[in-house]
Amino acid sequence: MFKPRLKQIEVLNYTGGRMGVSAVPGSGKTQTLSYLAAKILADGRINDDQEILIVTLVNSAVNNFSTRIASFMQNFGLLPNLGYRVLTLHALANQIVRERPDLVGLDNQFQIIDERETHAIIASSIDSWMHLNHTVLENWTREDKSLDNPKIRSGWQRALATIALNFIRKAKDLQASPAQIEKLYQLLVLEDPLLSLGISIYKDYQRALNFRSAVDFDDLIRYALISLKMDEEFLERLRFRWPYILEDEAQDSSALQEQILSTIAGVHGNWVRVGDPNQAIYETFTTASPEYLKDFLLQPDVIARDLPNSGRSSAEIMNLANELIRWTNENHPLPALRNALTKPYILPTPPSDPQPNPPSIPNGIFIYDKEMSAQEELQNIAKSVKNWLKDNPDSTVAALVPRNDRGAKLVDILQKENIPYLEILQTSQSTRDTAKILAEILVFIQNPMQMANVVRVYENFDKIFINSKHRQLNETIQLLRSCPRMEEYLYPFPGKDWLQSKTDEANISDPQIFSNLEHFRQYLVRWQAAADLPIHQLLITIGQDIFSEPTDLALSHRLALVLEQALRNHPDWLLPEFVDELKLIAENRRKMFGFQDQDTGFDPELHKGKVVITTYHKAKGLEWDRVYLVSVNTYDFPSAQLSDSSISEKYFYKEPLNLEAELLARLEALVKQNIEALYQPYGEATEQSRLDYAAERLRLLFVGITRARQELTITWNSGDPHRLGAEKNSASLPLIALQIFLETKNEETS
Amino acid sequence: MKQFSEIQQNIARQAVSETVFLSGSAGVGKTTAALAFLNALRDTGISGNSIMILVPQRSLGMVYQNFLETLGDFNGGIVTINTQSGLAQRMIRLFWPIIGHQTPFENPLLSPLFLNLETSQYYLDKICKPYFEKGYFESVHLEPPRILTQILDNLNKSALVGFPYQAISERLKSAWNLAPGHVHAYDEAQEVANEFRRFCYQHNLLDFSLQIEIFRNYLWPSLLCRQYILQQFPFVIYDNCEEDTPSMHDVMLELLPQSNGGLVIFDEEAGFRTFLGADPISASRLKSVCRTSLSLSEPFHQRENMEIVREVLNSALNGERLSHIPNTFLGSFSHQYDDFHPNMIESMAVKINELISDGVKPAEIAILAPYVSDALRFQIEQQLSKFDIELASHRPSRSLREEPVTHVLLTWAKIAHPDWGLVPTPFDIRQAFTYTLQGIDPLRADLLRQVVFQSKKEFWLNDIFSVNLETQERIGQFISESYQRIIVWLHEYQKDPQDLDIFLARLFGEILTQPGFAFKDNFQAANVASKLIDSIQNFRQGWLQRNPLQISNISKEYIETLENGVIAALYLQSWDEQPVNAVYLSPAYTFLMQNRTVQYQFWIDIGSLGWWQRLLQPLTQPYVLSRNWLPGQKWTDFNEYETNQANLRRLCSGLIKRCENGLFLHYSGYNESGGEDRGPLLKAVQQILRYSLNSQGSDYV
Repeated sequence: MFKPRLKQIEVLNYTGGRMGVSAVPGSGKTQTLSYLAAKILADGRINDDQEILIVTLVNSAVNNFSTRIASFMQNFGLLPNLGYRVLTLHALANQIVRERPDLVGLDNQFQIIDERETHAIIASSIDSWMHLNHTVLENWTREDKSLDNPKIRSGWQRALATIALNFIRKAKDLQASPAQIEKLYQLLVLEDPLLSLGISIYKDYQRALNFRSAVDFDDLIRYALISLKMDEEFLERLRFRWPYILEDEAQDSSALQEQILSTIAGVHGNWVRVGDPNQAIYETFTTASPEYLKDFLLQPDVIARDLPNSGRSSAEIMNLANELIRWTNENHPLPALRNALTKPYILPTPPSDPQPNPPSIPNGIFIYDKEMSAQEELQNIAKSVKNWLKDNPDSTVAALVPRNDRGAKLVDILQKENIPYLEILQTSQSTRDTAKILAEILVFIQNPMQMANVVRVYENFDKIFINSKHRQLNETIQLLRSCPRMEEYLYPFPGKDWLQSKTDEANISDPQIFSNLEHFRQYLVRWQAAADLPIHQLLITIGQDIFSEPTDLALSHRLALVLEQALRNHPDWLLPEFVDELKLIAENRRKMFGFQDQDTGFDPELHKGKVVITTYHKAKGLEWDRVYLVSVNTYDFPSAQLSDSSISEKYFYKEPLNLEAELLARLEALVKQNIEALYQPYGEATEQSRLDYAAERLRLLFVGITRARQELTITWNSGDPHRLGAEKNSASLPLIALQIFLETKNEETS
Repeated sequence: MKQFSEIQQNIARQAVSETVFLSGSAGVGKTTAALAFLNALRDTGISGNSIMILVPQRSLGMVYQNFLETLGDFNGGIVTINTQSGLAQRMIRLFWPIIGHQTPFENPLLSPLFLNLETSQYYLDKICKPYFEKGYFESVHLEPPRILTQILDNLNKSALVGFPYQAISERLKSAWNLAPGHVHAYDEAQEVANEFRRFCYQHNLLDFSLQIEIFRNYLWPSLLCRQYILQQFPFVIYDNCEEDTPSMHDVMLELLPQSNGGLVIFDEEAGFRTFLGADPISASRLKSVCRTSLSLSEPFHQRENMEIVREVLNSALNGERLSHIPNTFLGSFSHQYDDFHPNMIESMAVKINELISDGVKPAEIAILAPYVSDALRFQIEQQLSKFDIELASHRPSRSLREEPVTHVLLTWAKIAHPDWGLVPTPFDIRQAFTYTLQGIDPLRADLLRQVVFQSKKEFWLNDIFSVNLETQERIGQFISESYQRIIVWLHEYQKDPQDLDIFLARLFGEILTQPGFAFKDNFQAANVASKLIDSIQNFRQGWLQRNPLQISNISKEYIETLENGVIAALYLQSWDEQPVNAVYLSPAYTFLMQNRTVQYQFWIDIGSLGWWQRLLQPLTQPYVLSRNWLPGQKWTDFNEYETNQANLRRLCSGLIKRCENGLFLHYSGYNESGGEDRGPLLKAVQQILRYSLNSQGSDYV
């Protein structure tokens, strides 16, 4: 049973009104907030037809909250799962819009398109824009780079797609429709090719959504707020339903999130916001900002509380995190960045605390300051992980990467080295595994004569149904490969049965192989016969044949619906197109909305003996005994220095500008009709974006450090020496500062 | 022979000589009384020709159709079963030469052309195209087919309710009480509707709304026509009048007082087809013109426990604090929670199997959900099949596009007409071979495709003789010969190519159903082929007569329109194709319209908002476009909420009244799309559970 410490009790004494809680990493805020929800219910402060609304940032936290609240409620002798609702902001917005879609011009059957469809729509608009605006693009390209060069062209395609995507997102954040923006653009008689590009793509994009009866994730949020503001009676109904709002990770709240929640709560409503301004890591190109939480905490009607004690990490790790705060506040070379991290420092738990800090391990922190190439860095990490896992099979470990592609490269090395790992990158592992198996079977159905397809399906089949020893599996596959005519195996004519002939030859050591192949044949024939079923039925059929775990079956059903939706958008699609779609999910290039699997409540403790590969962002809220922080260089963790290279400033741009930042600044100026800002020369937004990005990266590093319980290794790389046009990276400034701190400390100790 | 109670026989006798308004809730035997009335009319020597049975939708006439079949000869006549549009079409056909010149149609001397839903959509789509290009409807987020449906729906409402079609937009706008939002889309929809109407007037096209309008404005007021109906049908049965529309009620208000005898059946607490124009308030006016008004209240079958279930659920839905739940309640009400959707279906299948093992007939079990997706239906079918239990599902219409047979036939049509430029994919070819050539398997079909299909040549399929002997041997001699026969036939056909429907009819008759081909004795394929040919002919009808859109190649136009989803080519599945002794699956509202009672009901996905929420469509609003809505009155969230609450109560009550022994509720943590549902029905059930636990003395406080 949870035994709250003093500071937590102060939070739990809440009865109503507005309260803000500033919580350091590992201070038990999820536990406290969950307990608070259960306590409100146990106190009987809401009616049967009301719910406590708990809003959190990411899906992974939803299950976590639900499970904890349910457990507290059971301890209080209450029925679990009643009286509260845990939702992400998107899920909340979905709830609101689903209830009154007519308010925003939608019908009940609207669909939510995912990132993959979004990218596809934008890519096709960008292609036609590039075709029509060749001269504009030439003017934006460095003289020594030619648009005829396919690499430069595709570089522009990718860059413009990202720029357009962010333009659309920002426009939606600002609640501006394409027509409104275009009207303002024409009214002010502007001639800005960058703005014109954004408007044109936004228009195409929204039209494409309309033609699919669809909304994207940003629309959901925008429409939710519009609905609340549009219909006072509807709002009152929701206010009654959710008399208490508990908001987690409030430091990453966007302007719209804050408006939605404050609108539902109302002026005198009950709204508890918990967050850590130092862990705000979702601000780039959004209106999210830790300032909202900071401002909230300062409001006179808000009860301000803090949770300064953390039992998560050893003193050594906490000192390092605190040093990052101190160095940023006092010694960062750019004064503009000195408030990127703010006090209070993390305090250890008081003596005899029920959640005490783990002991420090000698040399638990290791900052590797030697220069390595990107590949060498990953290889060294893999080597270190391998050794460590050997000695610590019962402990947890993770490597945090700044981007998914870095994670994928690390996974490649781990696979080659046979190091046990688990990756949590875009979609979850089981979603991808399920999609992969189904995609491979569909590939076989589509192309049954190719032996490679049959062998791939057999490997999965063996894993699921037979689990044969390595030798037997090899022998079976070898035998399968020897089949010259696949039709004589699967659909034998009398007297021409390949499997029978091989059985008669009897030169195979294990007769079980024949019965396995016979069994396998039955399934393949069954799936071929099912090929004419509508795609969702085909997937369900296969799913039921091969899976028995509830999550796998639910995922098959979910994937079937994804493809059914794809069919609605593309009535001309046949099996090959559906196979491609599934492959994208399997290859981790497509996210899905809603439930994916039980990993949504990821628990590192369940994966001891394996290294978890995830991004810094996805690691938030989690902790491991040992953590590797990868790529802490001037590229991934820049400090707004002239020597830093910037991800957003492409080498083929004519000017060293962040076009996204420039465009978004102009968009904001246009929507807010800030004429002065609209005519600012290019460059200022780029400068500001460097500062914002550097600040966010400092916080990301802080998040990374505070994931470690006892051991932490930080490395950097100089980049890929073969990468075209790329400059060499250096160790990032905070890494150097932390290393100096460690050395000084070590010297003092010795 | 059907047995009737004494009360029913009395009602029947009374209705022979006077008009009777019979009301009562579901399951009290009203329709059976109407059957007794038919029986009495027959016994009295009335000819079937003098009787009209009027129902709001075709499926509701099935019970009469089946009964009449058991009766045999009806004094030398045939009883007419009609719906409103059926009656309108019949009268327009008959009286067009007389009333044509009074109507706004530009060519009254030409016969009218009736449009069904898909041809209406097709023409409207063509009319809408330039408007879409001008940026119309950008403020509503709907795919074009849904926009078309809603525009047609508005036109239909104006006709069914009886207000000018030009006033649709004003009515909708006057009820909007919020910020402008997408309101100007109402005006855009009005503009397109006006344009569509002009087009129909110009080419003598009659969509559903015009059929109703012509009947209401020109036929019914005509003495000749009215006399015809009265003399033709002196006896009337009007069943489920609460599900019919005010314009039909208007006609009946005038017809009934002049009828020799008749029975008007009014189901209390119903009126479920509001979104289609049903108006129970308007229907209740009929009571005043019937000579006698009777009411039935005793349920046909004993269902005391279910009455308790209904009352308890109703109280919970009303938000009343539950004070007492009788012990018998839990005997007829059970619930099951599963984490995942497939588990929910599995649990339900297990429970159904238990019931059937205990002697319950499968047909006495209904599974009801707010929506029935294809994936859900398939999943349930699969789970039940594990126990050898058959599933019958209500699928009023199915798109021909979804049928592989359609795909195969159109692939052959494309191959036969390379000049259309519609090149099939390799997968299409393989599928066509697999479906067409008897004895071929998918692998040999793929092999054959690899060696004979060349899309760059003038004719895309090579002769089998061009294939080496070894491959021919792998494919099989019999199959190779069949393949060659079809190639020879196609070459011969190309000498004198014909329209698509004729091509398909010939291909089907001359090749596909011959020995060596897989359609031989395949009745389902024959059924689909025949529906496809019908659909093409129907589509072609306009061109044969007038070609209003000046399309040069109707066959190609049909294929393209079908494949890109503009027309769905829906066809009704025959009811008798459904397995008789099977568990029945349908959307909850559809079940209510089946006039059917079962022993056990399974409600699934009870967390779904679909149980509660009405059909929301941004370009139309059935309540505002009804007669009961005062022009200028605002539709608010309060109306929305109250309407949904009332609908949910009525739905639950209506369903339970059609259930005799037990109700099983199933729900899952994640719905089939991976979302979490907590709709009002689930909340009401949770309230009941909370109370039950409490009253059982659990730890809950």
